[in-house]
Amino acid sequence: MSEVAELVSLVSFLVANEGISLREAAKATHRTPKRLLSDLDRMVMCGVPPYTPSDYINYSLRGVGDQARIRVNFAGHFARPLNFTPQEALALKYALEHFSRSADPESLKQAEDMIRLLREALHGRAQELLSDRGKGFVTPRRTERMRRMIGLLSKAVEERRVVEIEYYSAHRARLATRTVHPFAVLEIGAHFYLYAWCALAGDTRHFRLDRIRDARLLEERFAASAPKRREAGRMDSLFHGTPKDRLVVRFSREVAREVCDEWEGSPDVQIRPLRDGRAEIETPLYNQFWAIGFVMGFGDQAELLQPKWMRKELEQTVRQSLKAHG
Amino acid sequence: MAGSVGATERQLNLLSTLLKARAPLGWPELADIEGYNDHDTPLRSRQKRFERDLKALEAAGLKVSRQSVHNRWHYELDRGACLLPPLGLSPEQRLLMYRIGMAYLQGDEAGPLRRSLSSALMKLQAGAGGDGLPAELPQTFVRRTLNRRPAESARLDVIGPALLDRRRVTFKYAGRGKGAATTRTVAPYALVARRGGWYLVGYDIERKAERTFRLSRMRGAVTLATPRAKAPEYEVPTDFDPERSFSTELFGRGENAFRDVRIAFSAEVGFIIENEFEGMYQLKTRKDGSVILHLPQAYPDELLRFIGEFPGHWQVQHPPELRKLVVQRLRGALKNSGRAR
Repeated sequence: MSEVAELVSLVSFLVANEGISLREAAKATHRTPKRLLSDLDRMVMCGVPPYTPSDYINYSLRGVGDQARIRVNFAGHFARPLNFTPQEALALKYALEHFSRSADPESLKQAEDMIRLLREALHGRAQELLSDRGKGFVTPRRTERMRRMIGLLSKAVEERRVVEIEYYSAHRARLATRTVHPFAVLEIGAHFYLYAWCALAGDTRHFRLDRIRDARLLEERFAASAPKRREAGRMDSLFHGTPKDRLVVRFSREVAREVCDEWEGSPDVQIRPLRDGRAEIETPLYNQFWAIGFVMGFGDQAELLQPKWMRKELEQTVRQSLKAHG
Repeated sequence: MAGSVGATERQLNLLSTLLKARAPLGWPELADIEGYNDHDTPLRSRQKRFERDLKALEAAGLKVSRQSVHNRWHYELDRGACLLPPLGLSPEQRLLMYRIGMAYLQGDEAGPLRRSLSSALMKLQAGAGGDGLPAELPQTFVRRTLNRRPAESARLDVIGPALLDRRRVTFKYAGRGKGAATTRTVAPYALVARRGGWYLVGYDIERKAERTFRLSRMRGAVTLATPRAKAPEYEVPTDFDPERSFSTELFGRGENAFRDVRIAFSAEVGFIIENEFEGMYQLKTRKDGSVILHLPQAYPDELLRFIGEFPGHWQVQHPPELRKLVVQRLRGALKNSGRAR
């Protein structure tokens, strides 16, 4: 994507939204206020012959800090944005399609209407690409229940409503009712999470949406924002506190390669291929219930080497499952 | 000082002048533009620079037509093709566009759609004039990320933009067999996420056929096959279906898969099964809240990994052979835990 097209899009946006605050402009144009100003500084060198002062684009800021209002001058010729490049048309199409796979019925209808509007309004290559049936980023479609839950909790997040959830915790291996202040709904890896402050834990937690049996929006609203230290979207942010121990598991030759491929590059994970084709994986242990399920999921293809104290629990869980099978 | 003008600034000056012009421009007018008026540079070099810049503008979707007037070339922007047609967005659509921007583009890990999607949304919002943004901007939003496992993210960040630009990629790949990794050059058609991992579906240039590659089996970095190429290198066939190469059965299918699989889940976790599979597979909720999941077919490995997440809450009911195999595996796990002790 050309830098010229990106800068011109930015100026078109600012001309259309004259007087917008620096903070809102930065948010709407997906950059930091600092980056926005540095991009604008690149545009002020741009002008047309004969290069009198009013032939150069310039901008002014009224006010201080992120609340300052931006006005771009002498850029009327950029007021109408440039047409979509093929890449932009595809990126928009792919994002709308991906978004729709887990959208609640209302958002899904809006996304479909949007694609239709673009198809009808655009022309040339952009229109061709938008009409193409081919998909670019394909993720599994969520069930109706999950899409409704995503919609409901997103509403709670936007309206800052306190929510009561009935949640199955893998950590406690049981259902419990929790009162939470929802900060964001996140899609990380193969799952959706609710990032929220939890009254029961007295701290923030990531709750897997498929583990929420029921969610009830209360009338009460909360004021506090998400803590700054949040690193939402990162795989490792799902784990909290200090690790309880180190988890070491040895995998058979049959599954070693698959497991190593999946864990490669994960933070704090050591992969040790053994000469006979087996492999050991060492990782911090945050949650023994998850770890027991993980090891057990491999049946006889995995051996729990460490921590030793967890072996008893693993054995009990396996016995319990065996008993269920008579 | 015109000689020190950078390419981006020079192209912006050229674009500004072409946009403002009301008639085709000839070389004398173009030569006045900052970046082409450095008279120390020979005229031929300045003209060559101009030709390169025109190509760069064309690559950004701007069509510049040329016509001969009195035996001299004149240039003009094709406004109809270059400018976004006016789009009236409803308040709901404005909010949707804002949400999509927030969902995919906030933060450091904006992922493979980053630049093109951001620019497209800015254009849409600008094209709707002062009404481009919702009346009230929500403070929070659903955050989406296409990136998954760390090792996959770096590859996705190369393959994703290559897919948008229709550029070929090259990488070393170790398939399921035991052979050494081989170098593959592929025209990406789509990226498909299945069972927590990403797959690239594309046209393998050397094998002259469509192939599927699991991103976690790629070795080392993925790069563009021809980094210097500027234009798209292929088209995705119009009848291409990215899910054609994938089984619709989540737990696998084929000759060795078990058929008519039934698993009972306890009342405590039954709703999770409903959340995941309602409408996809047959589910039966019993009076006590427990749920029976009925899968037309499944491989034991895939299935065990999934049900392993609910220790003590499941029981394989059917077929008897699968039940027997699961019991064998569990006994093996018990033996392993004893041996390790």
